[in-house]
Amino acid sequence: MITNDEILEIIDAAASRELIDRHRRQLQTDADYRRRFQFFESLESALYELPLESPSLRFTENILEKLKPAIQKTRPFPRWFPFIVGALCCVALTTALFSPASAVSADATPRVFQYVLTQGARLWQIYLSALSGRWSIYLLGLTASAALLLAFDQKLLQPYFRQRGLSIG
Amino acid sequence: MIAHLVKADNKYIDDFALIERILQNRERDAAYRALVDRHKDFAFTLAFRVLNNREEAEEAAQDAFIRAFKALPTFQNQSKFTTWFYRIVLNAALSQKEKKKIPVDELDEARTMTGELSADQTKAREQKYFIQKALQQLSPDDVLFITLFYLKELSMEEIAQTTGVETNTVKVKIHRARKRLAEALQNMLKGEEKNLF
Repeated sequence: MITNDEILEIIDAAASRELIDRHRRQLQTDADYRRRFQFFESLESALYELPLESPSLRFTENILEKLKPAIQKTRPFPRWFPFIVGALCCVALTTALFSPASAVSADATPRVFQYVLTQGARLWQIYLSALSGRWSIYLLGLTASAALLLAFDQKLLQPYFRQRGLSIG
Repeated sequence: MIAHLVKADNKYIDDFALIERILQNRERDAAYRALVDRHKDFAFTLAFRVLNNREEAEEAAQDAFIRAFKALPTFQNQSKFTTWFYRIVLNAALSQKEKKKIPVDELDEARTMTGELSADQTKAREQKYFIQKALQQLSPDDVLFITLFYLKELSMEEIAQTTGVETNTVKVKIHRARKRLAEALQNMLKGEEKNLF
């Protein structure tokens, strides 16, 4: 008598030589065993052929809608925000350390500070004169157009294609 | 491997790349959508096999996606996304099952649906009906192992990771679950199983 456990071993190709011989003999002589084995075999293929179920059509949309408040809640600031804050803190700290008020004993520090101020003012003048040039106006125009195109893409084109399911998915 | 990739702008984007996009906030909505579309059928099927109710299964699967997305920053790339995610789906389905005692009546409804079917289609539908009926008689553990095993999405090692048991134990559990399913069908059909299968 071959048990159900042994039939599964045969189906999984994990049966011993001796069991396979017994199985072959019984297949030829025992009609009841033959039917039982066929049932296990058919069940096996029926299980493999069981289709995946599909959820409703609104499934993905529902998730994305539910997800929106969660995302906004978990990320109040953009990713780069801590870096900007860190950089600002560094600038503030450096300025405080080298400012004339904190440099009571060191004579060189106020001079350094004044030098930085003069150079800054000079750069600012160069920047203002460059802005009034023709090429600067072209450059500004190009930048503004690129920004407008980017905004158009993000606010209109991308939502339009997303609505029609034309996404990277 | 191809099943885990998506075509976009002539490039294939795998799960890890999509997760990277979400975490870096690049095309995040599209990446969320891609992940959901890719895994929703399996997640829903797994939940449905445990819960036997489409509405509840849909709720559990959606809940699982939201839980997974919220926990993405903690996802370790050491395992496949699916291994990690199916565990979440399973937990969501089991906790749903705990919360509500769900009546089982959908199968009979599906079976009596009319329509022109060939003899083979009718037989396949009957087989599916009785397999699902038999699955209802098994424990959630048995249903889970059978679902994970026969949908062939995961290897034995991945099933072990998903279910949190040793690989050898997985093999034993799958073997026992298959045997119990066959015996449940035999008891239910009382000899008729040989005509149906």
